[in-house]
Amino acid sequence: MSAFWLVLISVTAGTLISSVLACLPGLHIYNVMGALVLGILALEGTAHPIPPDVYLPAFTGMIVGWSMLNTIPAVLLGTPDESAMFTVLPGQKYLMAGRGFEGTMITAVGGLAGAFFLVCVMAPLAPRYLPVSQQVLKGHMHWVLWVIITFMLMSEWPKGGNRGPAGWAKFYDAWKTLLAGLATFVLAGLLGFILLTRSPVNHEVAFQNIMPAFVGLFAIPWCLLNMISAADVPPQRSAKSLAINGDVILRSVWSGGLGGGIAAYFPVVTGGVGGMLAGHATAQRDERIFIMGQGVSKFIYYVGAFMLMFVPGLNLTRGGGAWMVKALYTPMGAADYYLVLGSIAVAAGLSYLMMEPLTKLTLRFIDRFNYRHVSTVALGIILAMVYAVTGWVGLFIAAVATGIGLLPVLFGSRRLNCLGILLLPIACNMSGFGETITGWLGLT
Amino acid sequence: MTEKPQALPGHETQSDEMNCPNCGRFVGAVTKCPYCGSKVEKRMSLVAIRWAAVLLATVGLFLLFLMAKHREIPVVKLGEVKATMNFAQIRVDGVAESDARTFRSGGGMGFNFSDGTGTIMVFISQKQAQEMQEKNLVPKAGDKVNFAGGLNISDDKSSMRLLSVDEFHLTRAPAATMRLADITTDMKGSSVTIEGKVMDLFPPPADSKRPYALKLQDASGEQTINFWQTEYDQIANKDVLVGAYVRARVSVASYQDKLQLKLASGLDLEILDGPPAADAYATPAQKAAATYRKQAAPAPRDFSRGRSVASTSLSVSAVTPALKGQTVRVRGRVDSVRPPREGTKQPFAVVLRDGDATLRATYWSNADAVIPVKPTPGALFEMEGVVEVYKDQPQLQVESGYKVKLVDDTPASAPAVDMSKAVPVASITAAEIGQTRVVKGVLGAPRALRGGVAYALTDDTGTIDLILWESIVPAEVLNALGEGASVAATGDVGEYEGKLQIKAAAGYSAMVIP
Amino acid sequence: MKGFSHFMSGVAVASFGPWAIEAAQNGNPLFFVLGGACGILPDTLDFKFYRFFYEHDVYITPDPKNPDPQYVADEYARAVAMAVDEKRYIRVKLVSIRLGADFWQQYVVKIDNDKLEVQVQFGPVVNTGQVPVEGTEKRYPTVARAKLKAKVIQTYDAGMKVDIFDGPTIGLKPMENGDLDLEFLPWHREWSHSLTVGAMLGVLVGAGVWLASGWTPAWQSFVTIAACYGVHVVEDQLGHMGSNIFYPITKLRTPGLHWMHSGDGLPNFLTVWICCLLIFWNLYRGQPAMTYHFGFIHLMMVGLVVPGLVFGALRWLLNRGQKIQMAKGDDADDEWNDSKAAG
Repeated sequence: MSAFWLVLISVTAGTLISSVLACLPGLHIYNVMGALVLGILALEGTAHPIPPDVYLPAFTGMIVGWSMLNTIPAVLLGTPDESAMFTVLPGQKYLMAGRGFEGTMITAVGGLAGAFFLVCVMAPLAPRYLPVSQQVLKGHMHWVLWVIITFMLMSEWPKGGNRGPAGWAKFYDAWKTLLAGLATFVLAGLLGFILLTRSPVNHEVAFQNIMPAFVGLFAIPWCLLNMISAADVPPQRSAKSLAINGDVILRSVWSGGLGGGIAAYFPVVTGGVGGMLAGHATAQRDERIFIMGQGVSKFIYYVGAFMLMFVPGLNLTRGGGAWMVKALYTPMGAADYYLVLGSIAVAAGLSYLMMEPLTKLTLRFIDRFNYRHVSTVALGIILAMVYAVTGWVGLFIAAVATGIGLLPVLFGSRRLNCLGILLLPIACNMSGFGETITGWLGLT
Repeated sequence: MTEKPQALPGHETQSDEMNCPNCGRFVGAVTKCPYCGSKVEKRMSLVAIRWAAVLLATVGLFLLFLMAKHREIPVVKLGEVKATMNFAQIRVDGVAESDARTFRSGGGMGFNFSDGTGTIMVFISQKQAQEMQEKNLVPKAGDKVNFAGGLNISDDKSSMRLLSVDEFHLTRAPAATMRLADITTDMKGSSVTIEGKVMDLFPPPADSKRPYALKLQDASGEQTINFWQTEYDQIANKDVLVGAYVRARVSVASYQDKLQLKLASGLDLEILDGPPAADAYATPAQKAAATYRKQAAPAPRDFSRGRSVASTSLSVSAVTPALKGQTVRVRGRVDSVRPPREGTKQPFAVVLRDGDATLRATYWSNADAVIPVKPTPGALFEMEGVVEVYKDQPQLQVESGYKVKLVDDTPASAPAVDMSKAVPVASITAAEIGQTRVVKGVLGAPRALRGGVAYALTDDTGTIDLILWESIVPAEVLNALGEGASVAATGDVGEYEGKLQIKAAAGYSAMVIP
Repeated sequence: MKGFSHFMSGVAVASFGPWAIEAAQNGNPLFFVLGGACGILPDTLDFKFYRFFYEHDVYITPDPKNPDPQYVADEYARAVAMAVDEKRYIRVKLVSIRLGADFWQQYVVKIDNDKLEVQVQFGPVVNTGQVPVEGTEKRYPTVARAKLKAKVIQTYDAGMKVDIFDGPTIGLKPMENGDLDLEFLPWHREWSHSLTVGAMLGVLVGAGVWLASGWTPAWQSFVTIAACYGVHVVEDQLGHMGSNIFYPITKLRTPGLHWMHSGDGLPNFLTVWICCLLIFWNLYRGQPAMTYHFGFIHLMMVGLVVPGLVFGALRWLLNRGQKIQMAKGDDADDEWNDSKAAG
């Protein structure tokens, strides 16, 4: 079979598989890719090794498909990954207004626009300009992280203190939410220090040692709240028009591209943080632009980060997907770059086409089954996955992380503060005093 | 205003506990109504989940912390390392295969480590490196080390990052006491202990990048020990160094076939109360120990993961057009290195030589950026890449900088600069810009550039600027140069602000003429 | 300007200090963090501290169970009467109406000086994103009116909207001609938005640093803090509202240059982006061994002019023949709403 057909079949298979998997709440494609990496490694040295021409396009298709279609559970089933937290809020409002279909499709258009932006604008410029910026910025990533942390903490709005006479009581009422946010950030940061310095997870599966914490911080609290909240999903209707035009798309690409680009390029910065920064930078108040921009941002964050690994002259490893592939393969110049770009383009088109039928199918599913029961099943799947990969220790970590992940939800602060789990220890490590802190903690 | 508003979307089934039981207004999650001050009872599940969250986030985290703190880091053999162990914290026990090197950027250090089942690069942060220097824990080839670190596994170059200096245990390899005259370049890479009287100490000239030079004399002869400012600062009682009897543990190296003795740490130099005892010198057994090298280590772990690469290196002559498309590993001495011309997108071109056979290897700037030790003329290198054929001649296309490895940095043959090709400075014209020329002359005062140094090179016919970039010219070469030195240099003719200059080529492109 | 623009301006100003770059290269992020924090600090002081201690004379608190616009109008008129009768500055708090976890009842207060009355209308229920909930727009068609004892002069025509989180404060200041001057958020851009306060803060922190680490880091901290705090004040002066630039020497806000509104998308984005480019340029200049070389003009062309032209051309192509309406705003209103919307 010629290389062209091999690549095409692989990318199509990867996209279709991930499109279906993306509809399952709580399942991250990186977990699936992790399992595949293990399989590929096991086949190495046997009579049937999997060649890079097969797994590279397949992985690309999986990341593309997932970044597009994960919007379905994020909006319709309310189990977002952390980068979707900005999509979910307005997206869920669409759901509660009976416009879940519209919400997911607007995000999908954003994803497709993100694919165009990535392949047609970013890809030709990246080999020329990104190595330059990398050379300038590589020694400065640590303070960029600190600056992002500072802004994240300083920009949270006090949500209380709206009533009553002036004074300390009002101040305390207002600052309760901010203090909860700070506590969340610090506790998540401490958890990060523990897991990154001396993780109790078995070293044989250390590549997943942060996974239980992420599941606990983001996925489990969402399932729990869905289960105990009394809200029911209203009947959903399909929309004939998404009420978007070229200007909305352009402005979404503008804001989402910036947010996703920041998240993809800077280490540890995730889609949620990138989205927050872009939201502040571009001052977009239109909810459609907001939702579509998050579609763009999510696509650029996941797929762009993966693409950076293949940019000739750059070869940056960013994002879980790239880290996993790095264990299998070292990109080799322009040929691999074009292979990945072509795979992105094909996969983006395919996954967009999958969006409408899968959204309708999921809506029919929600219609038939109780929303809370779906969340319970999702929680079961998540816990089973954590146990299967990391055992009881992983469940314990997930439980602690769930406690931290529930704090912002129950005390009214930003869930983004949970990202302290990576931001705080890695910023400290990059600035060179991480070891001092772990020394104080007695971890090193 | 008595209209009864209909329930809002999503509020149709909203629990009553979100409203104050007394006044009926929405109060959300608070337990005291901000409107009427009444106590708001919450559903048990919400109260429970709130307390559970706080407990899990604090007590649970503390328990997890205790669990992590008291957990023993598992000891793992490198040969057992799997891709699923990426990011794992493991403990290893083995030998430093190379001296720890300080990186040019970032100030960190790195050394190759082997535990008999595999080899891996170990990275040490700047802060850790400083601490290790202070504690004299910088590993040298042959030292036994035991440490904990974080694994970073990749397809072509796995590495470990040292977790903590406190967890780093080092046992120095035996270093025999030798007489200065007995030390030869054959002992390169080994550590020896020497004793003698300090005849003189030459600090580096201000603004130069040269090391300190300490002249030591014993009954057998005289040698120079080189070290840097950091090591000098560590020496105890350094004010009384000249004229004192000292004992030093040094590593043996060579540069341009000349013997070099390097002091890795100021703590390795001890001032003695008086002349050393005459019988302190090495017995044959100690000499053997001094030349200690790692014995027949098992084959290092192959990180190529099943790619069709020959298990051993091919000689240059073995690479033929018939191997087109295959990935091979080739070993040869570097004949020449040509970096891409400024403003072009050319690759780096390295010619490997083995006897009469030559092979052109090319790689892109991004690959060059990660080559730990850059190819320099004369050095023995091993490169892995895909064989391509151009005009019936085989070429090697190297895709990754990690596939370019130094085997031996001792130039095998003649010096890198062929002085017979030297041209008078005055004969160089603007028409020759971009062409390679050899010049010979005396250096003037150095001028610091961002990332390099410029000297005015004067011969009988005129003066021309010689530009040496730190990124392409080895530090030893730069350190050997200085004002007043007679040198020969090769490089491309360039022009800057209307003045011609010679931009020293990559590698050993300048040398002091004895 | 929006908080993020101020923040990035602070970081950009800090990057002009060679000591900041040198420290960053050695793993010390403090000057950049200080720059960003001081860039946003004046607004933080106002929005997160001072406003909770600001006393009000009249609290207008509509009942969520029985939203009555007439009550709001009457209370407003009472506040105006107090200012006129007692000839003193009256501070009025318009309290927001929360209906649910994500729902707020919006209401608009508008002054009609020709008819000498205040008009209050309850609008749609909005979510926390300030987007109206479908079907709630026309629940309260009634416009409540109350007669005012004096004209209330405000700098813009739009009605004052009260919706999510906290409601705004207004100050009614008697003028010599008998009218009242309306100050929106009177606790904002007062003492905190002052160059002298920035300098004082720099001196205070600098003194602490001097005691701890000596003279050099002390003056470097002073310069960073004073300059980054100052750039906030200068940027705000480009808008309409202005700031009390030399408090405590000056007592009143100096009106701004009216070049922009603080919530305008384009100036804010341009500020952020230019700051990014300036930071990049300063980092490049401080890089000891660069393989790549470029000039400032080259950077600006590649990073700003060319993408800007392409974006402008695309936008023009996509919007041909369509009329784009830009909402009129006010500096304080923009900042107030944007800060809240940001969460």
